[in-house]
Amino acid sequence: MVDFVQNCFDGVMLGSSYALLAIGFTLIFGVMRRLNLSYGPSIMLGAFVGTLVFLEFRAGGLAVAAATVLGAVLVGIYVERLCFWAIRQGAAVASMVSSFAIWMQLEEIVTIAFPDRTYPFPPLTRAQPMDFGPFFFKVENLVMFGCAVALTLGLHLLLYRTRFGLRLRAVAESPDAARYMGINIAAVTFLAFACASAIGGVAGYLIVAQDGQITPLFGLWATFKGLIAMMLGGMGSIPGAILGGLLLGIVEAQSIWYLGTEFRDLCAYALLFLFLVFRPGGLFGHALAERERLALRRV
Amino acid sequence: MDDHLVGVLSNIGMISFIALSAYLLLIVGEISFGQQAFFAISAYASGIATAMWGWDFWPGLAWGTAVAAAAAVLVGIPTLRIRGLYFSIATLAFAEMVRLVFEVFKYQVEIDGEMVGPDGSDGFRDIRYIFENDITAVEYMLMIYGLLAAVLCAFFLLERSRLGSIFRMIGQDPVLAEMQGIDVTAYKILALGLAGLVAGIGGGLYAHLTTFVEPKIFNVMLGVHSLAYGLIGGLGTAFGPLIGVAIDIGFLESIRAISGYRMIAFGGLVAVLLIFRPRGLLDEAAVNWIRLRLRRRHA
Amino acid sequence: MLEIERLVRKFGAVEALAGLDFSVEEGESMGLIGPNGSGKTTLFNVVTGVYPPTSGSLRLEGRDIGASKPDRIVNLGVARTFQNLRIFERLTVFENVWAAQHRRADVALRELVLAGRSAERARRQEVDGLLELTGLADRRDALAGGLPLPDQRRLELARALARRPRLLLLDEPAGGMTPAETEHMVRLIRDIAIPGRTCIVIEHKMEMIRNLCDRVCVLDFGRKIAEGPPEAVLRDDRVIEAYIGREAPADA
Repeated sequence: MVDFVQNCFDGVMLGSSYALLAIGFTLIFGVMRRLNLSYGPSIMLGAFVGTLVFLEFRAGGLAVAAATVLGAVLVGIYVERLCFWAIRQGAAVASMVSSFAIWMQLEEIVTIAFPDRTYPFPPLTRAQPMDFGPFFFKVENLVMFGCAVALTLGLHLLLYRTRFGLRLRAVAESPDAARYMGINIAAVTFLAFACASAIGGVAGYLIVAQDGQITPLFGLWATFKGLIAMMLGGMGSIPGAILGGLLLGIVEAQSIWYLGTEFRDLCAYALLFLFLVFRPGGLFGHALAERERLALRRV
Repeated sequence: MDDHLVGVLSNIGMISFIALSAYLLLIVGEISFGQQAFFAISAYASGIATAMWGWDFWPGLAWGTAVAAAAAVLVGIPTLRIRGLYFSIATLAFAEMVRLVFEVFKYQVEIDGEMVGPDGSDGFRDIRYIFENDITAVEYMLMIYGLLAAVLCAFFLLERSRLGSIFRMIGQDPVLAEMQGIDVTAYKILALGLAGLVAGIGGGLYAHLTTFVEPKIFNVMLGVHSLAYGLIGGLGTAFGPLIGVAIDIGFLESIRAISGYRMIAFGGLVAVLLIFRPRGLLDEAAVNWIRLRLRRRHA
Repeated sequence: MLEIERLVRKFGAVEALAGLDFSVEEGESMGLIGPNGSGKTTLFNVVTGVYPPTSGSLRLEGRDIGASKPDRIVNLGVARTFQNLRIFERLTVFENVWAAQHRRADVALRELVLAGRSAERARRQEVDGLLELTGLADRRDALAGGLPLPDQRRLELARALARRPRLLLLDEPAGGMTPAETEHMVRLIRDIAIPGRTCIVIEHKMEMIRNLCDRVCVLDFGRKIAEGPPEAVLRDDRVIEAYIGREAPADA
């Protein structure tokens, strides 16, 4: 029982990094109804920019974080222009494939520019794990969990308390109606994309700082974990992203403990597959998926 | 012929099967990131048949292909109810599950004092049928191309048949296809089964050419590449994916000056083509234009 | 032929069909008119199974089709055209019509894959005959997406006829056409679509309804407000009010 509960705590801690990744993912999907598969690789590239700043200038944590976010945003803009803005509206699948193609590009750029593959990254803290009775927590994980919650709240305020948020929601609800209201859709989606990339940069910084190192494989890992967490929660739902991330973390932690490390990813993908088949809308996005199904049938 | 050339040509031939497999699904309007799963299933199944059960090559290949096709139909039944992005992600999840299952799949027998068979992440060594039976590299290459020619003939027959038109109808407008009395889901399952079969042929050939199958080869990048081949070469004819393969392996990989930056070039090419020619170089309009030209010349 | 009772179809809170009673006799050609948004196209969509009905009953030749999938219903002998044109743009004109001949029995792989058998040859000739009749023969091998609008409407008609339907649903078959093109379409429908089958035509051009239909049914807010022979119905006060209230009929 203690094991199970400790696994759940571990899962929540693990899951907060997934949740962080899923928030940006779901923001893009919520606004554009498209999937950006090179989300992870663009964060990875951002983290390598952070590493570069760290190695070249011996910069402190804050400068590295800023460099990571800036890098992720710049790469995000490149992806947005090429895979989303330039492809006509409605061609969601083309954008998805295109973003996958750009993923290959980004990964190759990193492996050419950083040939040693594994690079150091300044850690967040050097604090010892904390004990609470029979359970223990890592400080970095608590920070991540806090950031995930704070980002969600911030995003919620942005969406429901500002003019820009209103525009975003209008575009997400109905691009056509938004256009007739005089909203510049291209500008709104561009800003949403930049926001999501910045969130991704923050997430990437926290995760990579916790690991203390970065490799080109981080891109694939970030895309898949973020994607699964988002899908579990429900595509386009921000509270769903948090819950999906936590669910994924807990399932992974339990499967590592009871089945072994080699079953961790297998369980994650199996969970994703089952959700897609039986509940494609995820925990929160059911109504949304239903609406899209109907829209497909519109005659 | 020198060994390098034979190797490259054999590779092009084998990859063509999986490219054709992804192409068939593109025709019915579904994007699959997971055709490598059926390639892998057949590679393992046919390898087990010849190396462990002592079967001949052709029955072994037929067995592997049949297993792959059956697996495709079984996966298709639950997943084809979901469409678009969701289907694509489901194929991705399934393919990763298959790869991860092979990472832990152990099934070995002792043959002549040596353990033979799949050994989890260490892969499946010694699928030595073509060496034990003195089939030269050139002969094997010819076998690959013979089978490829047969599959291509089947594709051309398909394109001329009512079934081919039905597939294209479903790909263009599934609701309208239903209005023509077509059971869209049943035909999609048929298409998925056929696609699994085509990928299966390639997988069986691959296992016997390399003699060594490793789970990590069948990762998502293989699937995305095979998908991209059709999108580059064009969706108007079965020559399209072959042109895509030739551009990638024959051109980008073989020319030294480009090969170091192959992914950058390839990813960029896909992204740019998706903007300017969303259905590839030889799309339906181009193919129809060529067809009319040829007919006029004959008349 | 087609019997509909208390049919309701809701979209959220909106009742597109609000308890519609409606029936068509075998061999009849029925006009369906009403202002925009009165539920005409929704009725077609429900009859062909695109949207399941929210409640009410739907019978085709005595058979309940309320919960059937579109391909089931269509295979019972129903074909339709679309108000906002739906053609397979990346198939040729010939292929559009040819592929529509598909029937349940065709699932036999032999007939699906092997071209050139005698039965198949007869059916290809049937397609060419239809293209000849609808005046599309010289565009036979062009991609359908490149056709001008009137040709696309004629292609939709040919495709629907290729299915040899017993019930044919035409949704504004002359929408967006000039008077001359409309006249051609009227002739086509009268000569090759109506004979020997049951037809329902949605149209705003009242002249067409007068020319083609034995009976007219008027919808407003998802209900039937009038029914009868064209001359009588088009003089009905409620019909005029329903139209004039929001828009005038195109040429009545």
